[in-house]
Amino acid sequence: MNASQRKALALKLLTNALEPQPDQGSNESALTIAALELVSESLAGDVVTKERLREKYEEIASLATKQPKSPPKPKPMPTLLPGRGRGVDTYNPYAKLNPFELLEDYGAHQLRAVLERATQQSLRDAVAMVQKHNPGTVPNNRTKSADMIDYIVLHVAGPGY
Amino acid sequence: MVGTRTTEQYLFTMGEFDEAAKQRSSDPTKKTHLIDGKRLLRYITYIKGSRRDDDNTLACLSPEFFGTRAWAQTTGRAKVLTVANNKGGVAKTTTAYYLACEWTMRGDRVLLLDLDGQANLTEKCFPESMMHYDLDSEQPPSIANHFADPAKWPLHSLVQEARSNTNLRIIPSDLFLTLRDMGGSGNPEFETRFARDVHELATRKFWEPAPNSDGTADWIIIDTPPAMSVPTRAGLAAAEYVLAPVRPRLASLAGTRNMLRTRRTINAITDNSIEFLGAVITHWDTRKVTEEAIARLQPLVYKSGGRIYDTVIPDDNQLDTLEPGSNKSMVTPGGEAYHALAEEIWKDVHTRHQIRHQNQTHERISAEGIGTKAPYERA
Repeated sequence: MNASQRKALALKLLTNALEPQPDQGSNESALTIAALELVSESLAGDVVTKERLREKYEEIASLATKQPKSPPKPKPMPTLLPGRGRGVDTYNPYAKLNPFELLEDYGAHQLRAVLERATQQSLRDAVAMVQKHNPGTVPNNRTKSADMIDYIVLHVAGPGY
Repeated sequence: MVGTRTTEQYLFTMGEFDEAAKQRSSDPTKKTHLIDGKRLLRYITYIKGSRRDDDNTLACLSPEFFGTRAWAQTTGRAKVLTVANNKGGVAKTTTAYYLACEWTMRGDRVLLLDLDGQANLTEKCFPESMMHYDLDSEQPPSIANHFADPAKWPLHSLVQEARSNTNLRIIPSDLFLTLRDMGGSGNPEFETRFARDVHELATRKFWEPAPNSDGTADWIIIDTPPAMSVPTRAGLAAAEYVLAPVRPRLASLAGTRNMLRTRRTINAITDNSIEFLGAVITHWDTRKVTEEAIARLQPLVYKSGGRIYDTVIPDDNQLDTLEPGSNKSMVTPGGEAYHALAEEIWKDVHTRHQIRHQNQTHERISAEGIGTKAPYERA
């Protein structure tokens, strides 16, 4: 347990010790002060408790100084338009990336953001699909993701996206 | 109708239905069960999603299998969370174990139910494994006993204390469970009975009552095996909430879809009582293939009523050796992420549970008392 978890557990135990529970629920601040005063009073002349206090203090202080690594953060995912999605009967994860479906699911304003998450191979598949609907058009460069995304967005969502 | 094996033969018009009803009422000795259109659709959904090489599959025409929604009672019992995905290696067991340990550290009481014949969750809970890998030797009682003879081995008799964590209990698994697996065979009798048994487990006291707890578990977490097996179907039937750990790779997305198909099948006999929480991304990294897979997953999860949790679990080979819930587990990215995930899911489930409670209270008031008992108590 880290320091904050230990604090929460200790508070819970203290609250449980208030049996019967106060009608208005326990006041954590008042409970902490009461517990501190009680410990201070019992420390007078009690060498064992003093020693125990020191041990616990050093243990918890060492926990508090450890800085846990922050969990990694993925890119925020664009959100689906209301009512959109794929049911279990039509969902095929192996299907080629279909920019027209993406447009329906995410809307024109988010199409670029979704395409930016795709691999180069998937973008090439998507470009081929767009070319079928727009014969004679080509992206500026089929090896650059940015150019392929520009091409797809222009022909699927329209200019301005 | 029992004994007929083609789904199409159950599709008839309401006129034919009425005629059949008249015939039945004039002949009380007939054993045929008549069901209304809504239940018929549920029956078809169930049959379509099950293997039908077993007569038990067709036995579900009995009206009791189409009883009202499970989990009518929302208070005074454990919340039941099933961790499932048909694809293996997506961190189902790791997720179940970390969530359990994190929640026990909050003071919650958790009962684990290991339905995977590989028994990895059981191994995690017992430092020196209690299992014998020689199938000829005598095994300690486990969930496999219950699957073989539920009357002799009720679930509550299999509950054991796990490790030194006093807030954690487990119903262990063992290798015999895999030997009993009949694949995707529909066995509605077994599935509904298992759901009823877990329901009973959720209200049973396994701890001494305390000021803030009546001694029941706060959570039952069910770990399921990969594939659409008997234990997976049973685990889904017993579920109140389902969580799918998903590795962002195409095969894992397909496994999630297949699990959700099974959930739909099982929901047909539980009257849609199984709520899909959503997906937690595991084995996460920053590669494009990962980002694309998450984007491909979202439409499926969204349509199934779930969400993709904000917290992702990164690839972390230390996760297996850490002690979940302890401060030591917080020093790696994976451990830290599970800590955050536990918090996120805890809040989400409590919010959903509260909504469910309000809705059910409202339904009960509207129905003037109907539904005040758990569905299995009515029979």
